[in-house]
Amino acid sequence: MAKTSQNKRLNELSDTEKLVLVLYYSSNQEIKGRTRLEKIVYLAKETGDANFSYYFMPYYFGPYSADLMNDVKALKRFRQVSEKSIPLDEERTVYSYSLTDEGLELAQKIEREVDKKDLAKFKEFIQKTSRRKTNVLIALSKFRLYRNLMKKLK
Amino acid sequence: MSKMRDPIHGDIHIPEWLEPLLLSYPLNRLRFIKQLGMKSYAGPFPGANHTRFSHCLGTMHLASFLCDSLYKNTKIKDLKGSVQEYKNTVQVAALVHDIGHGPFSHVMDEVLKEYMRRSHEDMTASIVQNVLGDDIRALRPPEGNVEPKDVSLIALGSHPEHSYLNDIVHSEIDVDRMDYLPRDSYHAGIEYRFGPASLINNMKIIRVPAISPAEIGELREIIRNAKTRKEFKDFLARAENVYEDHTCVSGEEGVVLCELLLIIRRTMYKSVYYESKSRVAEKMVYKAILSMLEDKLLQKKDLTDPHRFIELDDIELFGRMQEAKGFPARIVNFLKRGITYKSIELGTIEEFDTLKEAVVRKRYGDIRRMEKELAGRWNASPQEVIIDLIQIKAFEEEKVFVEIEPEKLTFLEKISKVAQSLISPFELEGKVFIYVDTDKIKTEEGRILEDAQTILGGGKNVPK
Repeated sequence: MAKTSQNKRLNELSDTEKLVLVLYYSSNQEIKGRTRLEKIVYLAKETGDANFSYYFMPYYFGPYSADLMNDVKALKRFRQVSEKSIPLDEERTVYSYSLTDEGLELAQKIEREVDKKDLAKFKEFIQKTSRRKTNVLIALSKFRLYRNLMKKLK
Repeated sequence: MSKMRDPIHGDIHIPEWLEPLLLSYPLNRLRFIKQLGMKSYAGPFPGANHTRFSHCLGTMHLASFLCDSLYKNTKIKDLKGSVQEYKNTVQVAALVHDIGHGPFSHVMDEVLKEYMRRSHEDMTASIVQNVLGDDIRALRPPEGNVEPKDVSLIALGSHPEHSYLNDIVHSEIDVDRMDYLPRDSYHAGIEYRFGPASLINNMKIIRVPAISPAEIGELREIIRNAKTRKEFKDFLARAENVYEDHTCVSGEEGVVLCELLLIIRRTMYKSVYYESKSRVAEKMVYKAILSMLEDKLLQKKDLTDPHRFIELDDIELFGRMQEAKGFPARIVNFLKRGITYKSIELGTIEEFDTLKEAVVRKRYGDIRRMEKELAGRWNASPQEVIIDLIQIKAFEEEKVFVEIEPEKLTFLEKISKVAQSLISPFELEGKVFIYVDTDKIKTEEGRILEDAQTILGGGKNVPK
């Protein structure tokens, strides 16, 4: 039983389990901004092996998935994730996400169940991506989104 | 040009070129799928008998109307051209946007999501490409052709070339909602009046840079010495020429109408979509479908192969439930006699650790095991117990562009306190219920609550 669950492939995890791992592996175990969170998951879906099932729509701040944000809200409600709101100025607020103690425990539990090679690759990708600046993440996401369009423009 | 009589929009004119699609099997099948699943079979909305077909027709009608309005109100010439170019494709996309729904609409959607890792949107894309592809390609509108790929991208809200196309069918203020909210409320017998015409007349397309000019310079600086793919550098070199377009609501009247639409949505969730008795009936049918899958009376392929999936509709499923005998037939019999399981509210999800972990990890099999364990305690079979958790999507921020003064764009919630208030979670969100077949389970309610606490990990009784 234990052996089988340790050999679970990353792509067999549910979206929310993978989301918990995204936060766990992000630099400082924190993601500042919904846009950042959306873009990191988008890039993980597009370029990695994570196999997220979210549909991303082209939006003003880059590809966006309402289902993903809904899962984040659910994780917050289930007290796996905490959300801090940091006012940027009079009009704008940035939301910062990190795992709660309960969420950390869950991340470790999931980590123990998954194939080590799959995890190492995923971890490296999330660590690298989460260190990038938000505007770079948006530009990279839009680049992927508009790549076909650019080919047309050439 | 033929016409369809519609209680919401009056006469809907069907252009001649679109008629073959309307008569196709996958489209016509939607006449056999109720828009609101089990709502008319149990609970206080016996009139909610309308079908996915009438909703799809209405959505197509509004999409056509919205395209005309966008053409009229948009000043940018090439965007006007784009609306003309894509209008036929948008009409087709709106017509087929729900073609991937299965029996009793959202009942089957939950089975797909939880057990097949699919959604009705996936099935829509699959049916459009694999079943209807040739029919769509054979359509002969007055100008141009319609490509199935574009149709499925727009129906899914993923068209990469023009975001406004996605917004038309798939956004917070889209023609889907503008049709289903007035239609569902009308048939449910609730008098929420919303006429989409004025809102549509107040919509246009705006164009915004894909990357703001201020950021392009900074980004070029960041990647100057970085090890970055050449393709990405090329993208940034040309980024000034890449724009995005979105639908936008203009004027104070437009804002008020958006608020009205969103308030009606919120209220409909509470009073109709999650009405308790019909919700229990939906869950009973959901459980019957799971039981048929388990007993191989329904194959996994029936739900994943588009050709087999379209064989299923409400009547077909009821038939197969009756043929299956045993539990599925019992559910049909219950519904015919107006019997639903007894609903007991357990509390909110935060109170139940074991259930919470299953939901967080989307391990639906674990929830089924909890039902089995509870049934065992009450000398019943697992089908006679259903655990239900309510989860509803609230209004999304930064998704609706508004232009009150010319050229001054903002997001709806920035200028509307009403929209702001709709961001908060629904009152029902996170509530946990247990539904039991009282014909079989004679256990006292106090004991049911106590056992549920233990098995779902409530309070201090967290099972190890």
